[in-house]
Amino acid sequence: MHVPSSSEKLPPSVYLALIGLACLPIGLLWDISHHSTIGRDTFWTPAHIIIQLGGIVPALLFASIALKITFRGTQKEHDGSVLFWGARAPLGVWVTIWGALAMVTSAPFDDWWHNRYGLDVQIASVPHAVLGLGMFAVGMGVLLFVFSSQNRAKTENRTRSGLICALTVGVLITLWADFVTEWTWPNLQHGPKFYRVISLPFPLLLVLAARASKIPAAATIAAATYIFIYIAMILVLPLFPAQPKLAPIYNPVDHMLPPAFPLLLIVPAAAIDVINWLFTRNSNAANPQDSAADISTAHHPRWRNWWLAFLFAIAFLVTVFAVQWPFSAFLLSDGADNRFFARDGHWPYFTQPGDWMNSFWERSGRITFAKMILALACALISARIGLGLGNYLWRLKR
Amino acid sequence: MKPWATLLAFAWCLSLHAHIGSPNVFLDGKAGDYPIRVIIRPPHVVPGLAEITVRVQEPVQRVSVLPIFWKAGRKGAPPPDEGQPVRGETNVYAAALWLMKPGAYSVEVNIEGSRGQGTLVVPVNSVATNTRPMSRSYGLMLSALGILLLLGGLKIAEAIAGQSNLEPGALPTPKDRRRGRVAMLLASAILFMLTMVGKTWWDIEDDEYRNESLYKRIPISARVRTDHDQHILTLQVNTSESRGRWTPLIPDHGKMMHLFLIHDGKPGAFAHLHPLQHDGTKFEAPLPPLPAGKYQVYADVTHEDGFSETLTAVTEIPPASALMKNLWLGNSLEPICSSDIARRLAANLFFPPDLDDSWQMDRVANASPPQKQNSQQGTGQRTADISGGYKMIWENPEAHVQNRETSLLFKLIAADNQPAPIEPYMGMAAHAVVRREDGTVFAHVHPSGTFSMAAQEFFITGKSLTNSTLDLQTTNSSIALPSHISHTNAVGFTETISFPYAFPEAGPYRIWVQTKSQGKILTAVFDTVIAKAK
Repeated sequence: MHVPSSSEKLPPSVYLALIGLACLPIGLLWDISHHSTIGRDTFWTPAHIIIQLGGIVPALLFASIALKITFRGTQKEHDGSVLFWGARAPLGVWVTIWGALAMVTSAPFDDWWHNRYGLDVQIASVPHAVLGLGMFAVGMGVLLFVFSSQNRAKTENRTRSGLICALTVGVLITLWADFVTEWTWPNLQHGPKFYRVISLPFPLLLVLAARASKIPAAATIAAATYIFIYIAMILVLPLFPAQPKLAPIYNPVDHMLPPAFPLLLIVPAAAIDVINWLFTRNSNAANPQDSAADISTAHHPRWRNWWLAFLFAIAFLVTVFAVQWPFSAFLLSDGADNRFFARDGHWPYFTQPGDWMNSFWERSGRITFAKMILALACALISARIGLGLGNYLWRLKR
Repeated sequence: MKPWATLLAFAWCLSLHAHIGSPNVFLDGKAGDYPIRVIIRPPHVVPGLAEITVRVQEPVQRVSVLPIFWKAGRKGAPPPDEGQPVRGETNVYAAALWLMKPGAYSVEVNIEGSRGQGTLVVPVNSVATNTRPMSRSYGLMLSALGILLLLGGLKIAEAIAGQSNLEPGALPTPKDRRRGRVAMLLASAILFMLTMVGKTWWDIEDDEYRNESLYKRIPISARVRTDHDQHILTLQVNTSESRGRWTPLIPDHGKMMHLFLIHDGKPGAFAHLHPLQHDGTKFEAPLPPLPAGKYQVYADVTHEDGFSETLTAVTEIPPASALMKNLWLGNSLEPICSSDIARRLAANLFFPPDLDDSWQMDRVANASPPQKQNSQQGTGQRTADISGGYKMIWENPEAHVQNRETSLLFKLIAADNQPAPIEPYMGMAAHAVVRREDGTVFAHVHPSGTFSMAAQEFFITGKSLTNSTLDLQTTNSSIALPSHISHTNAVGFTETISFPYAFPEAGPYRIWVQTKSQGKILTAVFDTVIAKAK
């Protein structure tokens, strides 16, 4: 059995990389607020700089690690790395650098896109998808780096690394929540598309956190991280006075607009944690030291992963539906018309104020059994990938 | 149709809006007591950045610009932007404004100086016209980055499956290597699928841009029929293909439509007519006895929301009857246009012409193009003979380069070789039509500029003086109507007529300059070749 040395403790660069990573969703929320409030921007707005830092900080940190290991690395560092076009570093380093390269690629692509089709006022566009893919890869790279470090670390360090893993997943959930903003307004939460859209990224990430992190309630901590970041932005952003600088202005605002209130993902996250605990406690107890153990397949047939994924998917969809259906109605009611819940305070300057702000939208369609089955299928595939990734992260050594 | 001809026709269609292929707005006017020239270069895409240049004739303290969208009015306008002095220039200020919505905007230019404050309103169209593909160098750069990402992605997949789970220090076995290669294969399939999804998404966005956002002229058909021996041109707007953009029109210096017919053949011919509007979408105008042949039709209209555009068509005009030639021309070899003649014609014609209709034909005697007719003078001036012994002198025909802002300077000379008195022709000292030989550029210009006066009037008063059913939300009552809109200016003797303009493309152009003197509408024709910008 490999005995980890003190050099294999969680490196300090992991903390810095996590802080850098957190810049991505925070910068995005700030940028969305900037576009909703002020409209006019340049490359050098604080929001853009924070987003760039989110890519640059982890990428530079990890690039320095790659350079160090490749040219001046110890034998142990070489042993714990993968070979990549002649250079050596842990896998997470390369994934993060790849993500940063995708982010860099998206910048000229986005610039051309603006010149060809006009400045996009929506979040979903092809260059933004490249940017999003890059951001997600940067986050996944940090996660891989944390796990490879965790899996080589001493047992007593695992609580801390597990917590970092949960926080990292929390940042990735926040990032995804930013990406799917346009499909998750409270006004859309009585429609089938909302459930389909959230069933794609969130089961994956919550199950990943629950399975991979070696601390209890990891998914709940990840969801709480996302909710905390959103609520912090809701409370902080409006403190800054600002006004639109582009015409036409239909909704005059005088402060930075907050994001819409976050999804209560903490509830499905708790359900996933409970299911994970129920179905894996025996495996954990049987083999607490062996970080390489695949807890879901070591003692059970492979199809069990699908059953487990199905349970996660059902739990996710049922709890989300049970929570968001009434909660979205509350968010559109007078009771939510305050600083904390920010009922309709997030609508941009270029929207015509009206009743549509505080009502469910017809265009979101009606919930039908067939449409919810489709959402369940999305959640199942997402949860199964999350489970597979979680199991993979347990085995990750480099 | 040959591919190049298809491309040319396509480019021609896409470059349309108010004018054709000439989107920049030039305005010479007064902001309060300050004579200024404003140039607006609208963006090719929406939302996009419009570049604004303000040239003042004296030092001022502050220049600011404010964009106003027609639907939102002043109430929906942001704080004005400060114009910044242009380095190396005197009394020239520049600003950039985002135009966020397609449609009619106005830009309020505010000047503050020792003589107080003054404002000038400049209407501008905000439309997407860009169809330029990605440049080769840009495409190569993005492709290189994309290939690097794809190769990197494959290598990462190989590392995930073949190396990442190995115990530290362990060497990959053949089985690990095989697993890595299988992962690369799988990853290439996934990356290929993702690329295809991205391409499909891009194609959908591109189709949506072309079909929904890209400006397309509202299609019109032009047909000539003969009634009571008279050729009558009927223009029909095809509203079913107008994507809901055909809205009521407002009159621009008194006319619902300014129609220009241009014949490229020999002899060349030109007509500036003002059709009657029927049922909102149909326009009819009686034709003078123009030479038979194919004519390009350009119809300038302004919508009630301040959006102006040039609609185009092609029509075939049959030969005019001897009776019509006799009625319109009498014993003259060349057209004589005046209100008196129009009134006389009205008494004899089934469909009387508009009092301000005018037309011109190249002289049949030598049937030579105008550049041959224009006589060059030693001073670099060029002279065009006009009917009735009048002459038009182009004072600066030589100094024009593509995209260089200029003033086209003309002087009307009477038969006695003295400057001729100029009367308002539809409220203006003169009208000029600039057309590139291949039709890719067409602009109707006035001494005050290239903008629609009806649109300016709409943005100043909040409502067109006639016809409009719309109201701007809030208007600026402190801005007075410029004299060219009030139609009260008595022009009198004018030494030089000046048109602010910049030729957008290099190449051969023809310019028709129209003025009115002693009751006669006079049309001078000049040909020129514009040099390419260095």
